[in-house]
Amino acid sequence: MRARAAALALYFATGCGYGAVSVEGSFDGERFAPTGTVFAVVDAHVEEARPGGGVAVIDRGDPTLQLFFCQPAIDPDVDFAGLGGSEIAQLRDEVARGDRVVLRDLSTSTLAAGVRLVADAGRTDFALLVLAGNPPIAASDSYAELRPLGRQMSTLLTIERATVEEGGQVAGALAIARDRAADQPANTATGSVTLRFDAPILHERIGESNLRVLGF
Amino acid sequence: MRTRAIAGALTAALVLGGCGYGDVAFSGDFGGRAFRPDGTAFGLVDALERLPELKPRDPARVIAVASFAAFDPTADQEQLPGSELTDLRHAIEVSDWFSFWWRDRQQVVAGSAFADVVLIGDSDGRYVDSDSTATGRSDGFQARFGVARESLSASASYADYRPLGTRAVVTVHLAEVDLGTGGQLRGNATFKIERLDSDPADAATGSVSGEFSAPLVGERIAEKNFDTLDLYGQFEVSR
Repeated sequence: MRARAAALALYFATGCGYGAVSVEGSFDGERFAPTGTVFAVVDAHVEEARPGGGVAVIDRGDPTLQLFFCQPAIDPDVDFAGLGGSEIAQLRDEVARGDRVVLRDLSTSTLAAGVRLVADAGRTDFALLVLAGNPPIAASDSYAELRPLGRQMSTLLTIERATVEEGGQVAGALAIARDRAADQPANTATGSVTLRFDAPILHERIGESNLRVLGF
Repeated sequence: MRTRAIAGALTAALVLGGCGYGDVAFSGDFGGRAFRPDGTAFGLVDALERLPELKPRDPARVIAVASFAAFDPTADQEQLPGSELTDLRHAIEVSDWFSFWWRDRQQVVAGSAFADVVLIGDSDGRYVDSDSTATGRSDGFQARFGVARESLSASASYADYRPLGTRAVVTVHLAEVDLGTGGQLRGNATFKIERLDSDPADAATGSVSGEFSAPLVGERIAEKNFDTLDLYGQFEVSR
């Protein structure tokens, strides 16, 4: 356990986190708190196989922004792929155990203060992945107490500030509403959580590499 | 359990300490990027096919492998504790390595020379695609190699990104060949990375060369370690 703590200290911040996230609301009392880390990456380049061999790195044209939230406090300025294999495995486990949100394909040409973007059943301004973590359970916990989260989701992203460049920042609020789907049980947890965030924009190469290492 | 702990401690020491197995002494660089697969070098004679059933491989092939990661290829790496095995797999994946594959052991004699032309298969610096259109390649010989992944700083940008040249010419000259038990392959190798017309003007080129000595390891332990360490996948060659 001591060795594990020492290894994690290499890249886990001491609780102050990376970026800033606060949470309002819950899903019927079920906490959702990807508050340890938030950062953004502007995806401006793409790798393409060239006819005749090799790989070219070319400008994407319309850069997109990715926004990443996770529960543990990690330092994305560290090159994760340069860590040892078992440290990477620990890092992935820690991130996978907690709540996470990933927004992709946000067109940077539309990002400005006051912009409101939506992802729900009818409109998709961005791609969204919301993953609830796995809180610890006790030996006496049973499935009877298990409350599924509402699957019917709608999200509203409101941009308050945006300096869309490497080293810049994007700040705003992400409201996630969960409703019960028709085939879900009556005790399904529903409600709304709002994440207020201020996300540093990482340099693209390390940001994308680290997201790949984390499996995103 | 004690054996396992000792094996684990030994491998950890090898990975970190660079004690090594076999010998590789290269010099030169690819536009400032070194290539030093000098932690482990070994060879094997692949005389048996394992699937669908064990039977003689005709002809037997010969393989030489080297990696910057230092480990003992005569020890069963599957017996390592999980975290150490994960460390070793990752170290092999991201550091310098090469592999040479001869289709027929009859080709592998002292004084012989071989060449292959390979193309980079991805931006991770792995030259794993033989250029079937190139001239000067030796029949029945395949070279594969990977240049260590670049370490990224927080401010690394694509504006500063300097890719490796797409094409590489690998030549090998064998000075000593003993394919019997306890034998070895010894010779020298040159890895020359070139720029294609379609490469960016600043693509890194250069040449690395030097001597290698790869002691032969028993086929069964070597192939089990290939499986355990996913070396077939890394080298993109068939079992």
